[in-house]
Amino acid sequence: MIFFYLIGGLIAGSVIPVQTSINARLGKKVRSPFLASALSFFLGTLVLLLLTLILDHSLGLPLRTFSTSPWWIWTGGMLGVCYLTSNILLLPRLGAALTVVVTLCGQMIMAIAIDQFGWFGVSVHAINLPRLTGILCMLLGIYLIKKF
Amino acid sequence: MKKSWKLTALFLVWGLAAGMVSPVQTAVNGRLRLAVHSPLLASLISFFTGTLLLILSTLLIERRLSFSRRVITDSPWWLWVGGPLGVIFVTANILLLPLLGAELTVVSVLCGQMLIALIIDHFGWFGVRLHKINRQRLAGIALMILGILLIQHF
Repeated sequence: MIFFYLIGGLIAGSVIPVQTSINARLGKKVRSPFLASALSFFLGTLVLLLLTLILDHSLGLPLRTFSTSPWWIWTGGMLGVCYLTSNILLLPRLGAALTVVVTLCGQMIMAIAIDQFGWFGVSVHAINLPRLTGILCMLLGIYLIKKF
Repeated sequence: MKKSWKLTALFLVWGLAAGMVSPVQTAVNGRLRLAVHSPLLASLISFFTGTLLLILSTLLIERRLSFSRRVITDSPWWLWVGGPLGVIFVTANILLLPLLGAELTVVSVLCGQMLIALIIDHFGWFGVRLHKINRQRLAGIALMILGILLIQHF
């Protein structure tokens, strides 16, 4: 079963370089990377609005959600914007290869920490030597692809 | 000279911090999904708040939200599918996190990202400069897959 989930992850990742190429082109056309991001997010919102209405038949959300949940559950979208905008701003200053490598290192470090400590309600999965070796293989692989 | 080195260090730390934000976003959205009982509604709320923030930042930085109407009439249709593609990414991450854990989710998504990036480079799709696959790049992908297997098995 885990095999199918991994394939799902591969597919989810495969849309990113396509999206980046498309949004870069959109940014040139509208002459602003920020406006391109805003347009991209706005269209994504419209698609999700339609999908939610079709599949869930409602957009309703119990008022209790606001009072019983921690405040940070509403910050996911803004975090996504921070990530996206930082990438746009750093790319001309660090170059494509270094930008990718440094943000990936940040991703790996944080993902290990989340699994290790079970933050945000994720189940705990402690780091060990083989997992650490796996992370190093990933980083080495990314370095090879970026370098050659 | 020394000043520019300090600036580069600052940008590197910024990049590291930006990368750290990404798995946090997935985890936060995963928790939102539990609160609203729907992965789609969680994605929608995430995109909607992100859109609001981007409209505000665009107004502050560019002082406009308008663009030439010619962009709509003269551009290929796929110029508009970037956001909908992002929907696949965010929703899949929300669905996969509880099934795979943060590490394996990040790692499998990255592997897909690199694979397609190699293919886009190899064929020069979307007007990207041609960059053929070579032995080192293949070794890179093999190492990434090995990494996934190691993390998954232990």
